[in-house]
Amino acid sequence: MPAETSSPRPLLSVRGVTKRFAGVVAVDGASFDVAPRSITALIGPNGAGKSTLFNVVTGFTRGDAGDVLLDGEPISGRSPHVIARRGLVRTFQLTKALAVMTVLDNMLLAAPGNPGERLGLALLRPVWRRAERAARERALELLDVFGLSARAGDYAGTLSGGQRKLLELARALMLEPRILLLDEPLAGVNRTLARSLLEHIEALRAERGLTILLVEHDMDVVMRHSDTVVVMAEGRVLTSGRPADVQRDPRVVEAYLGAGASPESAR
Amino acid sequence: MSDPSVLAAASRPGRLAATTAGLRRRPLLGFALGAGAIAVLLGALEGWRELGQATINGIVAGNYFALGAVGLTLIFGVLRLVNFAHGEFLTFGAYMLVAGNALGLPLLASAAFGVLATAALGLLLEVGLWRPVRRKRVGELQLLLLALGLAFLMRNAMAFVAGPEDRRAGANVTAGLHLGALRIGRTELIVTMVGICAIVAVAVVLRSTSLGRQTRALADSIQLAETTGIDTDRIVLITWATSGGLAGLAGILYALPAGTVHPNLGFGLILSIFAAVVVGGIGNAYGALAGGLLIGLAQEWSTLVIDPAMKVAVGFAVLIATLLVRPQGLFGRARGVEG
Amino acid sequence: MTELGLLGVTIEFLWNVDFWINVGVLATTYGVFALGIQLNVGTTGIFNFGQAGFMAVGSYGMGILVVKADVSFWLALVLGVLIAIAAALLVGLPSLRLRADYFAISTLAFSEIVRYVADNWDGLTGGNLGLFGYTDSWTATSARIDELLERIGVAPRFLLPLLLVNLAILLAAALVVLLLVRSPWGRVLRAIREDEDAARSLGKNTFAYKLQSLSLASSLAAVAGYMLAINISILSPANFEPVLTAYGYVIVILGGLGSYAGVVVGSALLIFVLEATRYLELPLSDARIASLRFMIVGAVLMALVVFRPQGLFGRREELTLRAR
Repeated sequence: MPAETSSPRPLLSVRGVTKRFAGVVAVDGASFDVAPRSITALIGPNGAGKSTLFNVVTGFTRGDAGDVLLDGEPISGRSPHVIARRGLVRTFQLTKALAVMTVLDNMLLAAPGNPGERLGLALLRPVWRRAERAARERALELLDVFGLSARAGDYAGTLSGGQRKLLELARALMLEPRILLLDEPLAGVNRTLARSLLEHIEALRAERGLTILLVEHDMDVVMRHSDTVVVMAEGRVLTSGRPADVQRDPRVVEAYLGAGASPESAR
Repeated sequence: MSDPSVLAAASRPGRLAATTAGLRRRPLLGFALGAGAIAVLLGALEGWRELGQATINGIVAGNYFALGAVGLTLIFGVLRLVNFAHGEFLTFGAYMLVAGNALGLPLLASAAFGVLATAALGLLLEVGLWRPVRRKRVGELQLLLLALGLAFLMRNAMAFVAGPEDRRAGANVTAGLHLGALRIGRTELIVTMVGICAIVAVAVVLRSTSLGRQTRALADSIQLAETTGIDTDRIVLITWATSGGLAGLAGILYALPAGTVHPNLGFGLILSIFAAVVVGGIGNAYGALAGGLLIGLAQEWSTLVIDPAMKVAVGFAVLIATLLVRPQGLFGRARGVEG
Repeated sequence: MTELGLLGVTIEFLWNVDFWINVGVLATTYGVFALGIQLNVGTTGIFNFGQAGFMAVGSYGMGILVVKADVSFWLALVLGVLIAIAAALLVGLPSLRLRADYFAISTLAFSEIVRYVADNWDGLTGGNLGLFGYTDSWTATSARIDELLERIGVAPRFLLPLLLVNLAILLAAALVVLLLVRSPWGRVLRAIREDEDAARSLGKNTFAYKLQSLSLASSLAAVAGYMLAINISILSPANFEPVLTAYGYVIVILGGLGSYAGVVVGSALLIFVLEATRYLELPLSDARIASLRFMIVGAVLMALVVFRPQGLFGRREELTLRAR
């Protein structure tokens, strides 16, 4: 059941999304809203359909039914690059730092609106020189925020796993998104780095007014850092609401018990 | 068995929408109807005798396309390898037939020798080239280039050893039978019978034997197969032997009625074989068999309306049309083809 | 001194200027051809196995326009490139969305079909008797270049004007491609090669970029096709067999994936070796020697791929950094 939305229109609205794969229903009529400037966590036992839903929302998979609305505008069925340009940017569970390009190149790549990216103008350096320089300044600023300035000239492949996660986050911000979809941002990450990442995420919301939707398994993180929790099980949205309420909801406990674990023990 | 999407389609305005949605769920039916409609149209326009003759020719051709396609698709399914050198197996089989004849063997024995020799070649290549290269974990591009290079190497090695001139395959190419107004060469008829038996045998083995089931499982997903305890190495070896043997047989079945063997024999057929594989659904053996027949018929039927010299281009047209409309082919799964 | 008896090789040809001019003309032709393959495979990560087909489309397009439609040679050069680009779109639109190996199959099939059509549509292409009669404008230009050379004291030699023009074209093309690859446009291509989904998630329409890359490669193939057409004066389908694509890949792998300087050096090396082996005096028929040469090309491609995939100029780190 979608959460009660207060007066601001939800920034992201998922309505009845369904996706089937060769007879298996991965997502079955999932619906929920994400309020602007919130941190929403999408949780659920393995196989609940979270990744598939993510892929449908971000355009990487075509849904069989349902709609996705970004600030009231439909984005379902659009290509991933169009959705990204509209302000919905995602990261990936297995980081996609472009290893053979430098950290700076990774960032410059993400800068939108560079006329040099068009074949017709690519050879006319004077036309895109300014945009490139502006992108470079923004990139270095962002790298600084994430503590990666020193590595700007290195191949992204030489970064540690944790640094790559930071790079992916910084890179996503180059697009000036309205909403960030983070696919298990803390997966395989040690405690210190996790804390750092979460601080960054909170800062993004506080300082830049960003909305965040993240898929996460660590219930500790979910309870302490999210405003809203959406619980999925067997392809459907069980419930959504404040962390404390959701945690006590017997249906949620059962969903996790049914999958062999309870929310508290899911780490 | 109510398929919700079909029901949903039916409740929407327009029965045409419902019908096409239903047909899309059952590709084989849709395709059969389409083929039937085309056949009727051709018969009405160009003459029923011409249609009948073209159909006979199409079945003869579809035979060796199918046998060539099965091996190629199985290797892809099991190893994710696009074997550009596959056509050379056909040529090799035909040359081994010629070699057998030269050694004084009777035709049947030469043919058997050709099939076995090509199967052995497949095994040799797996053990000597593909397995060590897989252990080395070379990338996708490298595998493709390796297959391409191997094709050149094999084709020209055969040309080097056997010379560029045509060799005689050793069968009677002039005697023929008449079925009413239609004609089929005697050798053509025999190889078609042999081919059909081989196809049926392959289909039976795939469906009913444990080996066949394991191969299909492996072609479906290597990880899945490994977790269920299938001996992948053994299956891979057997698949190479089968791929080689069937391709060698295809080459022999082509060469005998055609009369001659030359170094570009396989190369000339490989385009149509690839079309058959893609149309049937790459990785799907039944699809390859159906695809081979389809391509054979399409190419021969096309001679009723266009210049017969261009019939291979029809195979290409079918390939492109498949990629445009239904890239996973008749039997493939949609997810497997996106980049 | 000039004979190495054991191999039956005479090295006298190394002193022959015409040999070197010939090597130069062919090397520049294959260099431009391979630039397109490098752009596709080394920079964008799309496996174009049909470059020979694009070359055929370009050169036959030009030839047919001049010979059959009476179009001016210079206009035909431009139109031929446009036709090649149209072919790239025709092939790319249905197949670039598919997996890499499917794309390889499609482009290879396309290349074969072009050759097949050229062989069988006698009326349009002259079939295997060949298409000729498009070289008049070039002959005039070539004569003028000869005059200029004479004025600065260089004795006229057969094909020398063509060599100079080809060299200029190769260097110009290599420069343009290099600048493009180093531009923001090229950055997107490199990202596509690395991880297409990452590029899409960053707002890039990767399909359009791949189409552009293919179209550019096809244009380069057309230009290489012109160089070949002028050189041999008569076009025949046998000139566009897939072995050309194999040569292109040997050059690209030899020079190193992603290296454009490598393409220039690699093409010179390959062509030198191929042409030099014509002087091997072996007790074999011509046909057998030809087969032997192709066998060696196939074997060299395989050996390179397995033992020295980074080629001469490829960067080691690139191979080890890749997750694959």
